[in-house]
Amino acid sequence: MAGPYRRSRRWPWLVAALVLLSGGAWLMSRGERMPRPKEVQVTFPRHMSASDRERLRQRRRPPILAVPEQAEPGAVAQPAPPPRPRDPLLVAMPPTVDKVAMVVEANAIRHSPVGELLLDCFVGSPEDDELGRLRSKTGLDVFEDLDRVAVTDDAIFVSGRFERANWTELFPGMKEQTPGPSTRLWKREGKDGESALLWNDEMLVVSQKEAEVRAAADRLEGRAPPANSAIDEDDCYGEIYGVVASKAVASLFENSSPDVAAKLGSITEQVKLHVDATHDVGVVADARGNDAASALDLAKTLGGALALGRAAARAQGNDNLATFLDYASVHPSASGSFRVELALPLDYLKTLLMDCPGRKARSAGSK
Amino acid sequence: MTVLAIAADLWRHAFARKWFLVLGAAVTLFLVFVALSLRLEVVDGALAGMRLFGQSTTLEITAVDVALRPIFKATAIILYYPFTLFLIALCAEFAPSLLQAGRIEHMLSLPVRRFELVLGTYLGVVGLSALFSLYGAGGLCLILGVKTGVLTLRPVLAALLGTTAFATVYSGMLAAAVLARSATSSAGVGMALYFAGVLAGYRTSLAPMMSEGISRRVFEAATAVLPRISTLGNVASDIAGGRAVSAAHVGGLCAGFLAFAAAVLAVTMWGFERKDY
Repeated sequence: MAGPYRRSRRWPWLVAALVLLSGGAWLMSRGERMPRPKEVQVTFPRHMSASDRERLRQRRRPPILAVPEQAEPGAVAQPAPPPRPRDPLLVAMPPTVDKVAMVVEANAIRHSPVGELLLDCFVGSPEDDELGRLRSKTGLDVFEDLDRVAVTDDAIFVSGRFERANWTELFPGMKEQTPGPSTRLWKREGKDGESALLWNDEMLVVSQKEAEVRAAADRLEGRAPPANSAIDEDDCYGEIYGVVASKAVASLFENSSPDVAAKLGSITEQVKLHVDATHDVGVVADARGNDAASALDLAKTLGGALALGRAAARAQGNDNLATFLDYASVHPSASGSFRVELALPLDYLKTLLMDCPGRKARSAGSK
Repeated sequence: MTVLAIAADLWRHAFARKWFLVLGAAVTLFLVFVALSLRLEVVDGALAGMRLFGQSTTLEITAVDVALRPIFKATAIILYYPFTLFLIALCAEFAPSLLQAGRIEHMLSLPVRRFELVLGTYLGVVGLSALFSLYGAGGLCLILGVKTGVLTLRPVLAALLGTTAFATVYSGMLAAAVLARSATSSAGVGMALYFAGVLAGYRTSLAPMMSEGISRRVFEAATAVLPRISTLGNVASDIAGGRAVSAAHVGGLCAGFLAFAAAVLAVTMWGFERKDY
C-alpha cells in the first residue's frame, strides 16, 4: 500500500477512538454513581449484652421490707442471707402468667429511629397537640416521664418519674385508699375492682382486678414471700422482651396455617420474645419443645411456612411483605429448642406507615 | 459474515489447543463436584439443611432462594474476578500466535479486510470466554435448580457481566498483541488494565485521600476513561445475590465498557493499518 493512501485511511480510527473514549468515560461516570439500597443493620437480640447487664444493675433496688420470720420457741435463729437486690418492676409482676408478660422499654424506643418514625406517624399536628394538653392537665409527659411499660394477663405496670403527676386528673372518680409504707392505692367507687397503685413515685400498677394490684403491693413491700418473676432477670434484654404462651402465639396462625398452629400449641408451652430497635428492628423468638425430634419437626414446618408465605407474597406482588420475610429464619438446636428470627428494616416500616394519621393530619394542615 | 468466519476459524484453533480443553474439563469437574458433594434438604421451599461431604454446613432454616444467595454471590464473584484473571493469562498467547509471521500474511492474502481480521479475532476470543462463563454459571444454576426447585438465571447474568469486563480488558490485550506481537506484552497490558480497572471502580473514594493538586487531577483524569471493573463486579454480585439494581445505571456502565473496548479496538486498527506484512 502507498504511504499517502495509508495516512488518509488511518486518521478516522484515531478520531473514532477519541470520541468513543470520551463517550465511554461519560457513560461510566454516570454508571458509577449507582444508587445502592441501604444496608439493613439488624441486631438480633440473642443474649444479654454488656449494656443490658449494666441497665439491669442500675435498676436493682434492695427490698423495702423483709418478711419477718417466725422462729420456733427454743430454736437458735439463723442469720438470714442478705436480701438480693432486684428490679422493682420484675418484683411487682406476678410469678406466673397464663398468656403474656411483656416489657416495653418505652423510653429507649422513644429515642430510637423506630420511635422517631412512630412519633412522626401517630402524633398529630402542633395544632392538634393532644399529648401536650394531657401534659398540662395531668403533669405527665408521656414522652419523657415513662421509662417502661409492662403488660401481664390482668395488669399494666408503668415505671418512670411520677413526682409531678396530678393523680386526681389521672384517676377521676377513683378514691384513694389508706396508703402503705411506700405505696398509694386508688380504687374506683361503685365499680368492681378497678384499682391503681403508685410505688415510690416511680412505678404505677393499674388493673381491673383489685386483687392483682394488692398482690403487686404485697410483693413490692415484702409482705409476700420472695418469688421469681414471670420474666427472668436474665431475659431482660432488648427494647421489648417477655414471654407469651404458645397457645396465644398459635392463635395468630389458626386461620392461615392451622397445622403450624396445632403443632406450636402442642409441642411448646412458652415463647420468649426479644426485640431490638436500635437500628432496623430485629425480633428473636425462642421456644423449647417437649422433645427434640418434635421441636426440629416444628422448626422445619415453621421455616417452610415462612418460605411459602414469602413466595406467596412475591407472587401476589406484595413486595413489602416479601422483603420483610427475606430476613426470616429458623434456627433449631440439638437440645430441642429453636429460635425464629425476623427483621423489620426501617425502610419497610416507612413504606408501611406512609399514610399514617399523623402525616395525613400534617399534610392536610399544610395545605 | 467475514468477521464471523474469522471468529469461527479462531474457535477451531482454540479447540485444537489442549488448554481450552483443560479449561472445559476444569469447569466440568467443578460442576460434578458440586452436584455430587452438595446435599440439600428442602422443606416447603425452605432450606432445612445443607451438607457438604456429609458435614452439616448450615443450622438455619430459611427460604431456599434466600439461603442460596451467598452461594450465588460467591459464584458470581469467582466468575467475575478470578475467572477473568485466569482468562487473561490463558488468552494472552492466543492473539500473538494468530498474528504470527506466515499466518498473518496468509490471512491478509485472502479477501479479508484488516478491521475484519481484528474484529473477528476479538469476537472469537470474547465469545469463547462467554461460552465458558455461561457453561459454569448455567451448569451451577441447573444443578441447584434440580436440587432445590429454585431456578434462577441471576448468576448467568452475573457471568455475562464478567464477560463484559473481560471483553474490555481483552481489547487492550489485542492492541498489545497487534502492536508488539508479544504474548508477554499482551498479558502485561491485560493484567495492568484489569487491576487499574479495579482501582478505577473506587476512584471517587480514593481521590479525596490524595492531596489536592496536580496528582489528584491526573489520577481523576486517568481513571475517568478506564473501565470500572470493581463497580461492575459489585453489580454482578448484587444481581446474583438478589439485590435490586438500577437497569439504567447497569446499562450505562456496560455501554461505557463497550465504548472503551471499541475505542481501544479503533486504536488497534490505527496501528494495524500502519503495519506492512
